[in-house]
Amino acid sequence: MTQHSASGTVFKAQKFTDFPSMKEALIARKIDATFMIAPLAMKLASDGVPVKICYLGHRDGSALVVGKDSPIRDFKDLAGKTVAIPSRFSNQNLLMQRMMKKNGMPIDSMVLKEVPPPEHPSALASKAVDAFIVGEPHPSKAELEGYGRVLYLMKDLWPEFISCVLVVREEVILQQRPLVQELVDGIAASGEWLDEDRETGAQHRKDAAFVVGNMFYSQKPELLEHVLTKPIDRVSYTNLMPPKETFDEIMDLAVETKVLPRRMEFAEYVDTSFAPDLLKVDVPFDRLPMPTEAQLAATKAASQPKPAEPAKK
Amino acid sequence: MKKWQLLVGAVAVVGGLYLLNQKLSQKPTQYIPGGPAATADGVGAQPRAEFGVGFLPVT
Repeated sequence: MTQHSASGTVFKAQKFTDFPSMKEALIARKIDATFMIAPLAMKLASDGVPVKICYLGHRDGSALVVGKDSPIRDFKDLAGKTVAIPSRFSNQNLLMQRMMKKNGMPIDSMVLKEVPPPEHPSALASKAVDAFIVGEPHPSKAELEGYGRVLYLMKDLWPEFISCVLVVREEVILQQRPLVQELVDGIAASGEWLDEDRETGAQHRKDAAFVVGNMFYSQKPELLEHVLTKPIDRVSYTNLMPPKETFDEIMDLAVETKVLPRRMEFAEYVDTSFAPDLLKVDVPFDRLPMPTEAQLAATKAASQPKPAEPAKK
Repeated sequence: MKKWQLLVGAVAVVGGLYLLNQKLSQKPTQYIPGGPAATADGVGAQPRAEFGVGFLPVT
């Protein structure tokens, strides 16, 4: 996401390292909106927090990863193993439950262990878990660092998989509707831009990997380029209007597995009124503006760990 | 009017102005549709609204 939209609103991106603190910030109104795992957003709505899902962040973009030399070759081989999931309130958890059901496996046939997303690769490398399922770039990191092997990409297990969604506080929806529309239009335009040259070299995705890696994620652009291009449909950014049929299925799975205490109707937690007609979405640029050398240096300096202060006597 | 009355009055006026300033400073940024736009890089422009969006660096 760019910091400044073309029409003058500053969208301040605030990075979190875990979902619980993000949830608390949203409840405390420290942020107006956030990208959050879908079942967690549904849980907030179920608990009476005034929030609505207004758009999707992307499709697919997660993977089930095992150790490079692991004998695990298909889903049934995970029986008796420990698999890291990002959260109980994640769609990755629900997908595992869905796959166990589909393969006729009892629900307790493997241990699903909650591990914060950034710790998944190291948990696999140290053999604390036998596999992990989480969003990118962590699966790619395990692959590129040589200790992980992708068993399945999400597009092969649950096509058009939904992970993170845009959640907005309801009073913002009611009082600042044009702002929310501007945000959703910007996400839609960015998605169109990322996907429009996928079949012709994917230069847009390569630009995005460079800018986002250096300026926002503090991650290697090569890693993000791998995520965005190998294969090219590993993650997609179009078709982001929240689909009722899929959310009904997620809701049913969540209630069945006791992740959510009660079934909610789609309209109770989703507002699709902001989803734009993609044919009318204006992409305001062709190539992404590249950061200057000075901006790159400033970002690098800011991401360096600060030296510890000398102990006071 | 005695000096102490003038002093109390002055303190009350200063205090009132301070509280008024605090209140006006806390007024949230208003979104004005069609208001002047910032430049694409935001340099030298007055943003017309701010909006905090959280994210985790994971898809």
